[in-house]
Amino acid sequence: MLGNVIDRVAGVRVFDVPIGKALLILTSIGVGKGVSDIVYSKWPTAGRYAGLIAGGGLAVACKKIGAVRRFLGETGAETLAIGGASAAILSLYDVQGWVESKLAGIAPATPVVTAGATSRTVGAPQEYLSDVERKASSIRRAAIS
Amino acid sequence: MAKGFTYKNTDSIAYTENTTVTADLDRTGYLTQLDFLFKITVTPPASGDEPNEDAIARLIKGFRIYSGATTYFTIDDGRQWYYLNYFQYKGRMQATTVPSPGGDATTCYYLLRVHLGDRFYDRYDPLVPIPARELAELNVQITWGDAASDIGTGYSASGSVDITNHEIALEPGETRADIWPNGILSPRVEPKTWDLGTQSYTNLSAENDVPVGDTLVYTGIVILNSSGNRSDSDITEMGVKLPKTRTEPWKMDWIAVKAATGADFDAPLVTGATLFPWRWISGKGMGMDMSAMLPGDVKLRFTKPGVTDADILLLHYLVG
Repeated sequence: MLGNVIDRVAGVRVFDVPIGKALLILTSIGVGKGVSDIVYSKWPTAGRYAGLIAGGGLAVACKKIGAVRRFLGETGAETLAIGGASAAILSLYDVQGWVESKLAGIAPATPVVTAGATSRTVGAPQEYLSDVERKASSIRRAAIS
Repeated sequence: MAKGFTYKNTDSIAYTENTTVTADLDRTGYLTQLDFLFKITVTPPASGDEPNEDAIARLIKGFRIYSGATTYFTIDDGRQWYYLNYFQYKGRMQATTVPSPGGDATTCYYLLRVHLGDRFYDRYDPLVPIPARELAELNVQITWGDAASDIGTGYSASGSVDITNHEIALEPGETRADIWPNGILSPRVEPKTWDLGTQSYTNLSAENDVPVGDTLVYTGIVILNSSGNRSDSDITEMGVKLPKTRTEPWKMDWIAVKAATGADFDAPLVTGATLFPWRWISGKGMGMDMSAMLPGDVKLRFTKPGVTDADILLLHYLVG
């Protein structure tokens, strides 16, 4: 059963760091977003709610349908439910972008500037992403999706 | 997916000498570009001096797109707008030559465009729209000069301005968040006429604070000599200074700035004008993030060797 494979992956640790669980979480979020995109492509008028419906549905199915849960195993069902719920939340709110901007606001990277009349701003390719840049990139992403 | 629409605005703007004229802009979608076609019939005198340089642009003493207290675009000299468009559109904006004295009355077509995004050739660029459909009112206002002063002695003019709107309209079931997931970017335009007077400024000592609080995208620069004409000889150097870090991260000869911006914007060199992109300083993104800066933190600097009067027309464009 898939559950055994998932359990083995989940148990992978390097220097006691749970690499396997991280891999599973990322995979499950990818599955959740993939399912959301399929629902959205079939039902575009649902818009951002396609992600909510698909992700939420996936999460509930993994936890509440016995056959699915047994096939995936407890770890697999829990992980996919987390992935589905994450996709649902991401479809409504750009949590990642919000957190990134807040953290960047606390500790903006300072550009390194060398002195001298002919010098130019160098280095510190600024990791800090301003609110304007974040909005601009989200507009560009929405335009091509 | 949202759709783009182009249509002629209901109101046009009449030319009335020395008057401020206001018109309504239609509010049906999210405006991404506005084309203002100036149709000015110029009647020259039988004899006399040639018309002024940039004569039609000089007729525009002020221009503003606004809704209540919110201004989306504004200039205080038509040349700021014309040379902004010059670099955005590779020097190819329509501008009919004004007739010389003794010539026939001529209708001069002059296209000036308001495009607030960064993809100038995408008329439905959603980056920085004017959210017309969400506003209770949206107006455009032009303050006109007079032909005898701005075009040339003995000249007269009449005409109007047609407006073409380009906008994005939402489809049924679509929301604003589908196109602008994290909100709409707002434009902020700050024009400034900087009179340097008759004194000389050596070694970049003519300094002017740039606006702060948002992301500074570009600054349009037009140098005028004592006759009010564009000039390449009144300014010899240009630089940027950051007083708090005691650094001068950037400086170039004026002619080199023009050559570099001409190459960047793929526009032919033109006397006395350039469009300075602030990403040259920030090194990335749309421009220079000034959200944490205070007034005086960034200064634009020039060297003016001569002792004749000179003005600099600045047009700062910010996004926030």
